[in-house]
Amino acid sequence: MRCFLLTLMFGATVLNACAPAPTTAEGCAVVQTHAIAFSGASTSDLAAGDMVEARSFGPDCATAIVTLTFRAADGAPLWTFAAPARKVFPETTAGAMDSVAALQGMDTQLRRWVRVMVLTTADQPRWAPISAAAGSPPLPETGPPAPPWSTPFDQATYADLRERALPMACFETSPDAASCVYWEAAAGEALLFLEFQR
Amino acid sequence: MQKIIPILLTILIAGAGGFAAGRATSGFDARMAASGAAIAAEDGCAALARSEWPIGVRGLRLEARAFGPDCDNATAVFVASTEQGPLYQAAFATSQVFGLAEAETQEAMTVALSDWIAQRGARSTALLPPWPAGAGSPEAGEFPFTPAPWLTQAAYENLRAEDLPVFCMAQGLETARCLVAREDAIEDIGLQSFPG
Repeated sequence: MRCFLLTLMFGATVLNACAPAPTTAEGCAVVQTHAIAFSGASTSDLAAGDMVEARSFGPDCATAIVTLTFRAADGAPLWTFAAPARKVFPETTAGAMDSVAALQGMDTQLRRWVRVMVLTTADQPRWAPISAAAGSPPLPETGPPAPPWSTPFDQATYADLRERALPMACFETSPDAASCVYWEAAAGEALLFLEFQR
Repeated sequence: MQKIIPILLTILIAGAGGFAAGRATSGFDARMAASGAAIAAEDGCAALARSEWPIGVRGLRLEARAFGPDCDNATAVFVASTEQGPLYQAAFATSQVFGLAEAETQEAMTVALSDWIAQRGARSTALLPPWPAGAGSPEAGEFPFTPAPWLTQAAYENLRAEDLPVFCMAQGLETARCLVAREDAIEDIGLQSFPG
């Protein structure tokens, strides 16, 4: 009955929670998906049918792991982020909740999280002159005080990637942090471009 | 440039308040293709294995699971946790992990995941190759070890002297990631190359 009611409430997203688990109960199994255009030869030739898949799993939602996977049209994983749910959605996973409320909260969060922001690398700030040293984080040239940034690239590579306006998707990694990954068509892989915090 | 900051801040603001529907229409919705169109997540390679890392009084729970439309396109997630919750997690494309890449069915993937997180024999930080003072890296033996970027030569040698249990798992086709557990945290100490 519990599973029947949950399924009526949340649809197919909680079916995993009701299916027999391989070895133990899965108290926080939720899946949400969202179609995007991310991979492709260029931003004017993006592949149709890419997908973002947000999942949670674990014995309960307070101790669950959440993952965000970008997949190509053929299902190939392009990028996966994994973190404790309590880090990404601390408010949702804090405190004791019954399983229905916890699943409802997780379903709401994943439904929102999966809708990643698709931009291009050109939409990110230029490397500020004041941060000219290699390895320094980029800073916006204008605008309000910038949050802390970090990128795995030096200034020249960062500028080149930005100039090429490659497809890029940004997603939260916590309530006050986000990561952006871009699609490098030449290598056929997604790579981290930028991380920033509020 | 002026428009960039609001875009980025919106991502963070959304973290606190959510990507409300109203926000999604504020200029960049056009770039969010097929918004709201839910696609069924296929799970043609759902597999799960559990193990334990027998350290300390209670040990750590290890969990490996795979999911994806099929086993050629599956994602594997490794989680080490205590009763209080996860301490360490990492995700991989199974096609890029030694031992998982060959699994083509759910049954095979379950076996492969179990093997992936099986801890065989006692490994210790004392068995890591020495890193002499003044050298740029540890001595390269038959199976080179690449320390994590946070490890200085001194920290690395301290780690060796502590003789801590090490857990290593394949994280690529040619390398294994090695971890140590310390109180309520797990530290990534570097990559062990496979023979060959």
